Amino acid sequence: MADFLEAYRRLLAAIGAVERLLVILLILVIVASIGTQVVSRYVFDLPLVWVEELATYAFIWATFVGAGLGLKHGRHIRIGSFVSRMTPSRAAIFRLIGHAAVLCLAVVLVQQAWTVAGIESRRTSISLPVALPISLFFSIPLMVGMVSVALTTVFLALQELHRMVAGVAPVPIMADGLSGDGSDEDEDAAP
Amino acid sequence: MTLSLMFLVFAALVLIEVPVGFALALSAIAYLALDGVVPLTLVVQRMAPGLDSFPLLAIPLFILAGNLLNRAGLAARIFTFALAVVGHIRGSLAHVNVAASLIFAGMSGVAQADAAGLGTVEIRAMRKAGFEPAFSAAVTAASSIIGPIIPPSVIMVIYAVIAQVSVADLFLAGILPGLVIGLLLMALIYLLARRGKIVAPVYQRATVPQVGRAFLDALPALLAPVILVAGLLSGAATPTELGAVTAIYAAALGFAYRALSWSKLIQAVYDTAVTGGVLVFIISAAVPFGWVVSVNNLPAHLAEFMLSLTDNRYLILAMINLLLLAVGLVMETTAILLIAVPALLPLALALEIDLVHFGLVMVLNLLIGAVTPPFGVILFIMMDIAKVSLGQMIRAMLPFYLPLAIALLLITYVPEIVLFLPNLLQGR
Repeated sequence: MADFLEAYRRLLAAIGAVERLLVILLILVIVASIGTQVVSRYVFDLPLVWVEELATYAFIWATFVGAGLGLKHGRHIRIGSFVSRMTPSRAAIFRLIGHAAVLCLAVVLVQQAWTVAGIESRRTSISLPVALPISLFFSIPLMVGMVSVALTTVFLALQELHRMVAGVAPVPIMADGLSGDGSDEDEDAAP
Repeated sequence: MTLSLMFLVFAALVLIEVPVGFALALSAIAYLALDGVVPLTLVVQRMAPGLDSFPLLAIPLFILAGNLLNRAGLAARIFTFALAVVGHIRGSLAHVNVAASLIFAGMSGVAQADAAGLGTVEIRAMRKAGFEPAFSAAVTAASSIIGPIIPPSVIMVIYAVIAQVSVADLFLAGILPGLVIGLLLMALIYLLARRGKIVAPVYQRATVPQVGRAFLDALPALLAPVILVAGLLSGAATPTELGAVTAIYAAALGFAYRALSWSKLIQAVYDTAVTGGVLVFIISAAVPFGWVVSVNNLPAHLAEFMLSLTDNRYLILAMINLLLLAVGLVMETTAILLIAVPALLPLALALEIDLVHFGLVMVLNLLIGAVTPPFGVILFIMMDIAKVSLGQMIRAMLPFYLPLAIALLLITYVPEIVLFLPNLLQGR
């Protein structure tokens, strides 16, 4: 079990590394495209119509991929109330129920996104230089993010079970942490 | 019936500590599955297209700008400048804390960034000067509320998008209320210092050349909010574009100060992607949830019910405030905003309350919730930085609820404080 979990964790870390690269690029695309738009409008008096659309699509991708990464870093906002104050064994049961709920959500969303992708591919992007099916920017990023969430959630559940049975403390999935990482138990960032 | 079941499912999921965003989407799915009228594809068809909005793009941009400004080492410069200006007033560093927050608020869009970034600098300085850690933490927590009131503000962007008002109007509307909160906090600190509740050294009044030097040192940092407000007032750029400009400016400043390296820049971008991803995911998950609430006509029923109690708008505003404060004690800020704004809009419209004014009232109210136990996010950050217990923190916070409550009352009942700047701009 321990070996399997470690292999699973490495797989997730590898996926996470790809996701990390992707979101960094996406955020840079957003900043660069909007920055370019401002310059182009004021300096060259040439508003670029497609830039807004490009930035918005990058934003949607960044959100869902970022949400998948957020789970790997334990960064999703949860309200630490009862479970954090329970005895470890009882808390583990509730955490498992929580993981089951998240897994259920991810599976339903992936399945539904698959259906919606079929409907959406009839519409295309509006002002981008190339006409791409709209599903590429709506249902598919959601699906990709939710596959990542599902994989991570299964791991978290197995880790929880392993802790219940063998008393092994969970390890963080990704080594390269964020600033202020590791505050999973309590309520986290919010505006 | 199924509708109340959705709220029950949501509450149960939140209680077992399922992340708020997942809980929102899952309870909407549970409703659709039980109701059986609309196919489940609706959730997907609302979630991603719900983010297809240019104003929402301001969120990652302002988070990035705040992250970069924090890393550019500006906090120390702003603090030194604030010290030169208000350090000689009785209460010294406590005033400096508030003044620095006022300036920092003009660059940072998230209260936590304010509390964690500038807060660390402030608490260290106050400890050195002999202030009680719990008191320092309380001042920092209370003054960090100003961050999301004064533009830029991530939470205001969220409100603007749901309520369909202009982000620029809402940003401008926050400036005066932010200053009012700052002044009220400083008034309290002055009173506490006079009555000997704060034992603190008062610094010598800085000479004009000293203030000048500190000003010049902080000038590049002070320019960030100036660019933003000028851009908003002139209408030269949208808030989203100003977000990109601020982020690029912050990066350039960081490199000029040699505080930023490429790897730190990439780290700041990554932090932004994860923080933003998690936050915006909640927004997208709230869209199908909100759809269910509105097809059931809940907002209209709520408005009808409230109006049947009284049609006095002052009384209703008071009820809304109390309700939000109560919910804010047990729930996370963004989630409340996402659920409460659509639910309360018809009521606000029926009472002819300006939606920009209403936004300020809601945001301030929810921020007060963030510094109030048991679920005050900002309190937890401060306890961690200052290494104080919850009990010490709450005791130190108590006097600060008074100016915050006065500010909430003023902003609720004197809409002119809020609407003066946006109206000025539009010549209404």
